[in-house]
This record gives sequence, structure tokens and C-alpha cells, in this order.
Amino acid sequence: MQGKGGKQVKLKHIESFLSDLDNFEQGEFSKLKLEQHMTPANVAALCVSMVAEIEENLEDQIVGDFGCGTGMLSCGMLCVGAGQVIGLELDSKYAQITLDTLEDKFEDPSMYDIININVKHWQPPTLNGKLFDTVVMNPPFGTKDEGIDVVFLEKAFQTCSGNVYSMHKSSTRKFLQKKAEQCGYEFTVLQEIKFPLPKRFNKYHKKEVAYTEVDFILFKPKKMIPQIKQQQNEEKKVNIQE
Amino acid sequence: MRLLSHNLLQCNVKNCKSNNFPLKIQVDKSNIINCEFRKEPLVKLIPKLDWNALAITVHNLAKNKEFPEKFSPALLDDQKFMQELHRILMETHIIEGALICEGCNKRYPIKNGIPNMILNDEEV
Repeated sequence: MQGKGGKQVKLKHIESFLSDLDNFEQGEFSKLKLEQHMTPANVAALCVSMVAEIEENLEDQIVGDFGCGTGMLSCGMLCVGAGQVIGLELDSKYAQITLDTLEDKFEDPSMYDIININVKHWQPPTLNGKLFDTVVMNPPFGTKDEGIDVVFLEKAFQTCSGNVYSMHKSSTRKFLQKKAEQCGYEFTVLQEIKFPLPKRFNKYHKKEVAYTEVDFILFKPKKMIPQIKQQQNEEKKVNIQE
Repeated sequence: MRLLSHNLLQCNVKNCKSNNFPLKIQVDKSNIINCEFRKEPLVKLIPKLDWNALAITVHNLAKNKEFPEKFSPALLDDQKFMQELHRILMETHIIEGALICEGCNKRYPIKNGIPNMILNDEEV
């Protein structure tokens, strides 16, 4: 997978690998509320290559893709070498499309599972540990169903032991930064994206594409151990002073 | 769906709080598809699983009473066991069937390898 010409080649390679994925179908007006917006192949390629650069031992990882839609990020993560992807999708039709796409693109079916589930209603059992090593997702932005973006983040924090990568409207940045702090995560905007809004609900199929500003964010869990160490050090200091 | 993912699912019906995990699996069609055995991801995965839920499921499905009810670190060096675990978690695909909650009897169908965990309005 590693292109000889360096990063650029690799990025192009990922993008072309993802470029033939089908978009959501036109119409389907009843699904307006679901805020299904496909991550464009070039955006997905850029994002998954960033994840691949940050993550170690991606080949041993189980990656979650919550709200996997047409399977763009799932495919992308497998393309950059993730060991396994588990995709969660509310829309039965697109859950099946994602699985078909994965079967089409990856011979080994032990690399993925798709679950047809509403993330909002998903109550993950209290396992011994968190099953996911990393989550990479493009959740609903929360414009039609207020707060759903945060619900996705909370489920990710609940079930993932490592980094959570997620796309959110830039207008919510300050709010999410606060949320990350409350939940014990470091917050970094990895990439600002001009995200094309879907035209599938537009009756007239206007030619102009509308964009919205989106952040690709890394939520990195703060390590608890250094804090404990710090406390111990402070205790030692106290002892010395005594 | 594989048992790896089954470990992530409990009954999500509102007010169904007891006997809702693990969901019982009804298998109408399953496949075993071989894949490369790699020990490291498996070793990493074990402490994250609910072993008890996995053991109950394996006992129910395969009538394999030899599967250990409790995990012990010595099993990591048991090559035969690790390969069996690999087969159970990674290579066994439930294609058609259902997941059934033993607490409230809710039935979640599995079609084309995808479990449908969507609830009706009155179950939310």
C-alpha cells in the first residue's frame, strides 16, 4: 500500500480506491432527518491517511465506524491497514450496501462486521474492557436532530479505549472542546474541511454545490497514570518538606 | 455477524434490564471462512471481551462444553485452544437467524449476515 513516491501517491491511491463507492440515492425524502451525507472520497482519503499516520499497530486494531452510511470511512480504514472494522448503521438499506461494498473490495470477510442499529438506542453491555481501539466516524451533524452528534461521541467514548476521530460542523467547535474536556479528552482539530452538502433532497438539482465548514477532530483520551504520578510526586515533596 | 460483534450487543428495549445479555443466537445458516491466524490481535482482544457471555454462547451454539467458563492466562500458550478461539471469534459468520433476548423475548433478525437491532417505536 505504501506508495514509492511518498505520501502524495499514497493519498491518490486511497482516493481512487474509494472513488467508485455509490452515493446515497436521490430523493428518499423521508430520510431527510437522518442527515445522511456521504464523505467525499478525497476527504475520506485525507482523513484516513491522517489516522494511519497517528495510530500505531493499526493492523492489530478493531476500528469502529458509527453511522457508516455508504461505508466510505470503513473502506478507507481497511485500505490504510486497519485489522478490523465494525460499522454501525441505522438505515437497513445502507447497512446492506456497506456490507456489499466491503465484500466487493476486500476478499477476507474476517476484516469487517456491519450491525444495523440506531446508535441513539444502543446500550453497549459493560464489557471487561472497551472493545474498540479506535473510532473513525462522520456522525450526523445534529442540525435536524439536535444533540445527536454528541450522542455519537458519548457512545464512542464509552466503547473505545483509544483515539476517537470524528467530523463535526466547525460552528460547534467551542462547544465540543468543552465536551471533550469534561469527558477527559484532549481536543485537536486535525483538518478543516469544506464539506459539500448533499443535493439529494433538492427537487431541482441545482448545479451549484453548497458547502459547510467541517472540522476533522481528534479526541485523545488523557492518560490517567501521569496524574497519579504527579500526585505521588507532590506527596513526596510534602514528605521532604516535613 | 461474528461472535466478536455479538459481544457488543445487548437487548436495547426500554425497561428491559435483566437477563438481556448475552442475546441468545438462533442459527439458520452459518459459514466458517478461513482467515490468517494471528496471535497478537487475539491476545489483545481477550481482556476486552465479556468472557462469560462468550462461554455461554459457545456452550449453547456448539454444545461444546469443553470451552472454558473462565479465562486463565495459561490458555494463551495453548496453541490448540488459541486456534479454536480464532475460529470461534474471527472465522464463524452467522448469516441467517436471529438474536433473542431471554429477558423480554424480543427477537432481532439476522439477514445476509447483518443483525437488525432496530426497535419499534413502542420499544424505545
